[in-house]
Amino acid sequence: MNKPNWKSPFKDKDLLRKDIENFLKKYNSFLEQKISKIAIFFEITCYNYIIKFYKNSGYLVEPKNLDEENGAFKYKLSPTGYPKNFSYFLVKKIYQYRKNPKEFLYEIRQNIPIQSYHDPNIFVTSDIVVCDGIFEEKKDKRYYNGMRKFIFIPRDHVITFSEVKHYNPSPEMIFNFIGLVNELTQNLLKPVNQTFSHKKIPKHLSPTLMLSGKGNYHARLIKKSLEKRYTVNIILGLFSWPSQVYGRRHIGNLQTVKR
Amino acid sequence: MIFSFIEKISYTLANEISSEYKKFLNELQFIIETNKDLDKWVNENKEVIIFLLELSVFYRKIIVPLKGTAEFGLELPYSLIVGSGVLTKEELKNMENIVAIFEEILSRYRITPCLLDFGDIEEFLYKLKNFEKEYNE
Repeated sequence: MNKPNWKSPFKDKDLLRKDIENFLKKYNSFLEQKISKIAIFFEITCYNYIIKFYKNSGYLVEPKNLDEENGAFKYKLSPTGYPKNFSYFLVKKIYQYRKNPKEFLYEIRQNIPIQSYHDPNIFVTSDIVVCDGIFEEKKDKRYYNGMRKFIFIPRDHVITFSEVKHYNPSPEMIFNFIGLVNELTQNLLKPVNQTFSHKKIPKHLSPTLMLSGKGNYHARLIKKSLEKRYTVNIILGLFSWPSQVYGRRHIGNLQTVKR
Repeated sequence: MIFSFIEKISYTLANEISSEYKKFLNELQFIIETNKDLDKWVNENKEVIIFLLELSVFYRKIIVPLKGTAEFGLELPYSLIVGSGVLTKEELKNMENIVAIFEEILSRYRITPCLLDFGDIEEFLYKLKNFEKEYNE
């Protein structure tokens, strides 16, 4: 049987170089135009993976607050701006308790300040947050120089959160995430509760760090150790294996919280 | 070559990409100096290894986010507003096509995302060496 006509990057390296050069020449202006938004695209991509996780976990998923003018989904990509001006996904699950259906509703938001678990005057903005849709506001000139209302998610209304990093992981980066878990969901700084419960309560991803880079052996050891000690997910190598966040076959391997 | 293109883009991103690339390049130099088993093979193929390293950083830093945004964006029935701009269906389709063209070039050489994904340079060299071996068989 004839071998397919594959080229080798080793033997045909000049040809490969030429092909890539031509590609860059041809799409140079498009790439230059889009590249300034790459970090944002990665954050959007991870937000989308979280939505897929909910979809594949049996939730009904619905976009809300679409742009009035053109019906587009408006991502909130920085901590500034009021939540009401941006789109989000509403996820819904209905359970039957004997004959009574109960509906659970959650909002998946981006870049909204979250009140610290320890100190009500401290706030942290995580990239993605799942909450029950309750916000509070304060007008204090020490926040945003008093120019605007400061809107945040009160600590008891946070379900879970995720951080997104478009980097190759370093130990420090992974441990910094545990600092955030301590500040926002300190009750999860313990191993997963293994006790079996009959109670039907929706599951959410436990606090998750999503990293594009795969990391070396040491990073993988840190991931393993932290996931054993705490109810968190450290997801490495998203770039080549994105379905580990949302794939139906993989979501069972992720740590979850019931709320 | 790829990095002469990257130099034209925003300073922060260019800096981020080039520092990741330089980190791996330094690891490669270190391996050449210390790992005798790989030494000969690495030296013989140094030029192509460095080019594939560039390609790997380019793929994961630039192509992957474009791909993720385009794929999900096209599943949705509406456009996306990203910062002050709108990503229309046409633009998303265009992004998807460009990613497909890039991946088609890679596939001609049997370069998969898995080959370009690695935690440290030793793993990358190990994968490349096996890849070359398989190709020659």
